[in-house]
Amino acid sequence: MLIWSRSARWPIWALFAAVFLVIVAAPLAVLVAAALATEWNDVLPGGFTVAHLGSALTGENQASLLVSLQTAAVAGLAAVAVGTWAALALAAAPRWLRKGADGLLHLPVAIPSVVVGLGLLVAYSRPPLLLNGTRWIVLIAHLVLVLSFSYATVSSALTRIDDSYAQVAASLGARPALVLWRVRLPMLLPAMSAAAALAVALSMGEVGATIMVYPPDWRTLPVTVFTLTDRGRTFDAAAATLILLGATLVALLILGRVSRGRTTTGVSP
Amino acid sequence: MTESSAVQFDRVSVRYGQVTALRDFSLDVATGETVALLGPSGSGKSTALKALAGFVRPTSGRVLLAGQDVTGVPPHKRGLGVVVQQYALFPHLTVADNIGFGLRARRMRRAESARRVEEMLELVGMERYGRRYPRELSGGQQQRVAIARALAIRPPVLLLDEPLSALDAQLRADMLDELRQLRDELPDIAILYVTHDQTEALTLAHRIAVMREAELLDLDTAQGLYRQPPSEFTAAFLGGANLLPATVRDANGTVDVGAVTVNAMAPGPLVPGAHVRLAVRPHTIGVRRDGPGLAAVLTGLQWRGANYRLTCLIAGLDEPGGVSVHADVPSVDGLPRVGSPVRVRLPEHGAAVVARAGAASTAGDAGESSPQNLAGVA
Repeated sequence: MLIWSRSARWPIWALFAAVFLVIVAAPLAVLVAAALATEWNDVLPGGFTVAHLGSALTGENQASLLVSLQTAAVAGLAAVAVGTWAALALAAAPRWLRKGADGLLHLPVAIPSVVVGLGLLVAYSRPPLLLNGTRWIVLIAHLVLVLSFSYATVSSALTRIDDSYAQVAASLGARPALVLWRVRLPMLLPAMSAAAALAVALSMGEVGATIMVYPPDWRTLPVTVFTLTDRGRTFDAAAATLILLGATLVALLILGRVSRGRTTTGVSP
Repeated sequence: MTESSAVQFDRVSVRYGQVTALRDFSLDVATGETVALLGPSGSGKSTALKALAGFVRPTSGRVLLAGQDVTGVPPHKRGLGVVVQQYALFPHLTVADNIGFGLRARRMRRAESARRVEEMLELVGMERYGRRYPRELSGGQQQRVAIARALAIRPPVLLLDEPLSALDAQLRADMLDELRQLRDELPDIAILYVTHDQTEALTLAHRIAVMREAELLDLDTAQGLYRQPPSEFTAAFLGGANLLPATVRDANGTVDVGAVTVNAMAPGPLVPGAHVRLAVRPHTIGVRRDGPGLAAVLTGLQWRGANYRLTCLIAGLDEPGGVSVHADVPSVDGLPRVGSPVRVRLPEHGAAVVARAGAASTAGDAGESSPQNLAGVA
């Protein structure tokens, strides 16, 4: 803490509380209230109901939730796999290639997701790669958008791991594949699970590119929320958002538990 | 090349782009022998070890193991034991799994591998630590595990890259003792020991290869290099010798340092009248308030626990500004204050004439080094 005197701390805390309330807590509180309200014509909502939450968990909305979870799982897994692979491959690549590929892999962070969506639509709307109208184009869009983050997470962890681990493993007689499997990947595991968590969180919330490319049978929950809001069904949208929030949190908790379990006990055979 | 060479470097050079990390390096290590590669950082000693282990590919030259050319052989097929500076114990594996790593990589049967791991744990006195993880061990214990892991595959050659540099002073001294014992218990292994610490090199090595600026400078037995250093660099780096300008009086090694005559050891018959450098170890120099010796001024005094390190500036000796020498003395009783005149007494025996020039860079640096030549030695 930079400020030591007790009297000076109070205004700082008050300022922080005010900013936090307005930016984070208030929208969340309103969301929860709206999800549970029968009507909202006054300052406070009138009436309490769980009907919106109920409908958010049934029918089309439930299907949307499952689509979102599957998309996040597939895109997250693929992003960690491809990101780790890219990080490992580029660590051994010549400098010019490493720099070029590094820039390319970070590109999706810099360009708006709508542009990614449009790009994919244009690219995959003709044979032989006719993916427009299938769920694959949604999965590809999510992979492209989260890959940068998982690559960045793993490759920055990789630079902190000394080469000598792999060298010593090789000197002990381990072939490169065994060095990868028994030394390099286990040492990267904490970074890989962090990358997976980030990828899942980002994918669960993605709407910009998805809305450009999704087919009717593969609508993610954020798109549903958008559609509901668009049609003026604010309470249903709030309920669906609450479900989205809960599902994302549960997914991250599970992922965190799995990775913590793996890293504290080690991955001893 | 000798029949019993476990390791042979044959004119090995390693370049990284424009930088030459190792130049024309040749060295034989016999089975059962320990050779220290000693030099300051950037001298190429670790690069030599990496070339032997297969971690870097020589730009030119050959590396041989037991007479076989292994220059293009990948590390996992060389079968060497390697211990690196920070040990590189696999953090996700237990001590036993770390030690058994090489055995598993070689597909040794489980029972046999477990037995070998036990044997190695016993060798390094870590029997009770097999189930621990590396992070639960102290620095010294990690070091023992790293050595056990390297020895578990029964390598013909053990490579140690600054293995004690991560330890504190007391532990380093203890581990040095242990390494020496271990060396004596392993008569069939050739050991290449990379260090920048002269004490480690003198304690462990049968022979020392002094390296400087990517090249092998001097190679001899530890005692030989210490007593009769072939170059000014080695004289200063190994034991921090003072280098005093001297004039040869006769071929047997009698030299004049200013007005004082010293019987020194010489690498060969000397040319009377030639200008040479005399290497004098700090602990052999005496400093008195008065009496015989070279006239000097006491310019510095440092208490070092067991002794005092004095710095004295000897005027004259054909050096502009005089020559600064270090002396280690057990007591400063009877010595005047810093800044007062004193007498510096050189040992009558034990000093050595250094034939080859070279920029001395450590505490023994005798000021500006004047051009020396081999003409001093006939």
